Amino acid sequence: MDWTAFALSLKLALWTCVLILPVAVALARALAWGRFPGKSVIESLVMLPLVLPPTVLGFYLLSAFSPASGFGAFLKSVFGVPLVFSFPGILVASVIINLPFAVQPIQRAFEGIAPNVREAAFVSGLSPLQTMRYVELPLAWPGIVSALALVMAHTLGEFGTILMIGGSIPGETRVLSIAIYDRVQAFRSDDAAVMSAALLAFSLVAIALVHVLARVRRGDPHGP
Amino acid sequence: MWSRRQVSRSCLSLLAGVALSALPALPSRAEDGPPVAAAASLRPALDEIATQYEKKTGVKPRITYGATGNLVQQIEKGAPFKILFAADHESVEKLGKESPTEGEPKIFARGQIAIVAPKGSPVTVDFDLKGLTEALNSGKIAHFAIANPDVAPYGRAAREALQKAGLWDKLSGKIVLGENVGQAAQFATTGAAEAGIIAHSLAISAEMAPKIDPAVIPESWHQPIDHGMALIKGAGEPARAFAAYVTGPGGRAVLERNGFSVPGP
Repeated sequence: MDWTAFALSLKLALWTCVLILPVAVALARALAWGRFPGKSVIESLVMLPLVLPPTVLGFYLLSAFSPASGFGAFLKSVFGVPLVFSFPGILVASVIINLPFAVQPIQRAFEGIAPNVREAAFVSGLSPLQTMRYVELPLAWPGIVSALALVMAHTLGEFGTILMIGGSIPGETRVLSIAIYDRVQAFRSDDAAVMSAALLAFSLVAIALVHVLARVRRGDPHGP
Repeated sequence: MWSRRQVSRSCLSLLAGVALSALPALPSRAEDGPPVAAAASLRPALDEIATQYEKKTGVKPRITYGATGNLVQQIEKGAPFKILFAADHESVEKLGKESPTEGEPKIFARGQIAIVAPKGSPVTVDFDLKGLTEALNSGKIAHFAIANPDVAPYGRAAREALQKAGLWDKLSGKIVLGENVGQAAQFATTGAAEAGIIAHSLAISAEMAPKIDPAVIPESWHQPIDHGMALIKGAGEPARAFAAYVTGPGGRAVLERNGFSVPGP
């Protein structure tokens, strides 16, 4: 077991969750209830990483983040390090890749909230922010937890894009899935087997959690 | 059933937990050694040298192995490697032009290629590739592994040797390319390919040797595989010290034991 890679993967997954949550909740809410021009364009863009080959995304990010490009140089001055082959770089990539996994379940959860519940909240004099805190989020929580579980599992498994823009630097960008690839090439099948089993178990738990939460949502339409 | 308060409290504590456990992890590790890029052929030797070096100095170099061409690409795109140990010298010189290096690049080892076949393969390995020719003619070869010649110097040398033996065209459609010579070795060891041409240094490594039969291919059959190294501009003292150790007596002995010939000091 490559504990450095394990810790790095965990760190990447947790940071991805932290950064993606506010973005995903805002996007999901707008997509669930909002009516605005360009909505379907935004919806498509959010879903794009789901079907885009990881190498395509990797190629564009590599071109955009490279300090040789104007935009890459700007990012470097903002983050203090170049976004290629560094942890902040794979974190940004991870957030982009995970958007569909985060937005979808939360959007479904928001869509499942009956309009009259929100109307009741407005009529009772709750501000939009209060409505969100006391009515919407408590009703949407299974979707939010599902989203976080999916994002965690998917981040731990992400390979192609991270390899392209992060390389395989121990302690910086060599996450668990890349460590497995590296160990196989080093004829360390036993190590690769342990790490693969760990990822398999984690993915199973995450998927099981998502299913349980989906049942919670269906079985109790009036919310917890 | 959870109450609303319990739910929001547990959501909040989940978030806080995530944030707290992630925050202290963000600053980079201070005690870790310099990031090093190295050709995949060097893995057994350089791993051993790095272990020795860590015992002596307490500094653990963080080594990334890959195809030389890919590593050069990464350095030119801004990868933070401090030293490049390549499997050729052209790449190191090219790097000198586009992404500045410190001091003069130098050749620190010369490698060889070997044909290898997993135990039980229909291919008999020998230095002049006669066994391979026979197996090929009798249709016993479905896959033959080499490293990608476009990015891996050992792949280039393997292609030259196969061309010299007049087998390159006959093997077309059967060649499987490893992304680097380590992956090619993996293909040729696990039986995914009936045989392959890889770095001699990998063929004699402790992990591979028991599983394969190797035969070294004469150096006159391909361009010399001279491994060049360079410090990247701004490498710093820890990187310089490790580079000096690899090219010093300690490193040279390990390289020689791992199948490289080493130029005089």
